[in-house]
Amino acid sequence: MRDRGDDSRGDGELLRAVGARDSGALEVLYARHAPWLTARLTHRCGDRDLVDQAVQDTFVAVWRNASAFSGQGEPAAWIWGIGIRRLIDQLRRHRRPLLGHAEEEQQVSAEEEVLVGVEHGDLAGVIDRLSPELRAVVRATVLDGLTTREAGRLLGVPTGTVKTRMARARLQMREALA
Amino acid sequence: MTWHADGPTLARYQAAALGPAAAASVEAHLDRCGDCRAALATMADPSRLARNWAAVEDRLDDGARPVLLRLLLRLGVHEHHARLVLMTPALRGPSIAGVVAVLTVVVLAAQADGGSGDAVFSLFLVLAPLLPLAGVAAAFGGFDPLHELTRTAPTPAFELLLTRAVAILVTTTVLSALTALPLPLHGWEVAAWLLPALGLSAASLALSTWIPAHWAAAGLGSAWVAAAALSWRVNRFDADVLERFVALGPLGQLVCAALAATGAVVVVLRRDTLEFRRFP
Repeated sequence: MRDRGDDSRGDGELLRAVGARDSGALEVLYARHAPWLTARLTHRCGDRDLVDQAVQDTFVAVWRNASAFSGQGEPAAWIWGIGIRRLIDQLRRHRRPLLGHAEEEQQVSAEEEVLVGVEHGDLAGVIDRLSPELRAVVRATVLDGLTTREAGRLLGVPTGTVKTRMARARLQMREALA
Repeated sequence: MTWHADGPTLARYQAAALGPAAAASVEAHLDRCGDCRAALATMADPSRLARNWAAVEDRLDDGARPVLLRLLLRLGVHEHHARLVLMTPALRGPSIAGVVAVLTVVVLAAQADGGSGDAVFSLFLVLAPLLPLAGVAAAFGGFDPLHELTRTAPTPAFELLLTRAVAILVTTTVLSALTALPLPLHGWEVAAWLLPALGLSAASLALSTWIPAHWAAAGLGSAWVAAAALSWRVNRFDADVLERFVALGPLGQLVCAALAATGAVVVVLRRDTLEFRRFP
């Protein structure tokens, strides 16, 4: 695989080249974006195979739809939008809701919790104190930019549940920050 | 960009060991910062990345996927199922063309016949159930160009059979239903061929767990035509088409429904023999 340093073109330019069927440009994009995409998807799904499949699907989709990129905004955010939806497709296909949350929770040591609190102040503490269910909903809708329906699919819960959890999370955060 | 995620933070993020709030702020930053993305990239597992890239590269040249395949994928069919369906002999261009030709003749004959079109209608009712039967025979009777491949495919033989049988049934049923539309029929007569089609296909699949599929289909097809011809002769002067054909009347429908149910049960019960039949 080629190194990122090999190419001085910007991501937008590379996407245009991919749109013109330049697979070399896709390779450079892959080298730049697959690592963080893999890491970020791993935070959403503990199943390594599903994440790999989603990453592959994402770059195949980028290959096919690069011309759909408007040229406005951050290419990384555009790729993320594709990636998270490919992961949802994978989860739905395998009828598996989000895994890995429980393990993730255990990996965070008390020491790290304190460090995070120092680094990010109160808000971080509030977010960290949300129950895993509420936090997952906040992350899916606020950070991942998913619709309520997509968030429901990602988390394996009905749309109504996403809405009530979001409302509860909002309330809890407002009270904690007041 | 004034703020950057430091190395240890990125490493903990990469290891999925960062607290939720910190992970969220890293992600928000990664969205906009190429330098931190590059720093994270140096921590990723290179062999995993290379493996995934190889898989992506393999799929790049199938950009020119057939329209039908893309349609099936859009409907949520798994890619390997979709490809299997499209390679089913009964569903390849020439076979479909043959089916369409037969059905077109029926329609044209009905037009030319004018009047009640009873004779043509009878012909259609007898022919329509044979179409899926022929499809089943072609797919499982050794005429399959993928014969060797399907034998060694890692997919369970039963899943293979179900996928293709359903595809054949759906296709022929849709084609027959379209043909039935312009025919001068009334009431449920239009659908009188449906249960026989289902019964014959299920029975031939069930029989194919004992004997080769094309023999099963040929036997059942002949039996069906014979039954239709015999019952037709007996009641030829009756007014109602369905009463003229015992095979298509209430009794025949009942028998066909029983055949379909029994056939399905037998196929499910004997699905293991399908695995062995792969290696005769």
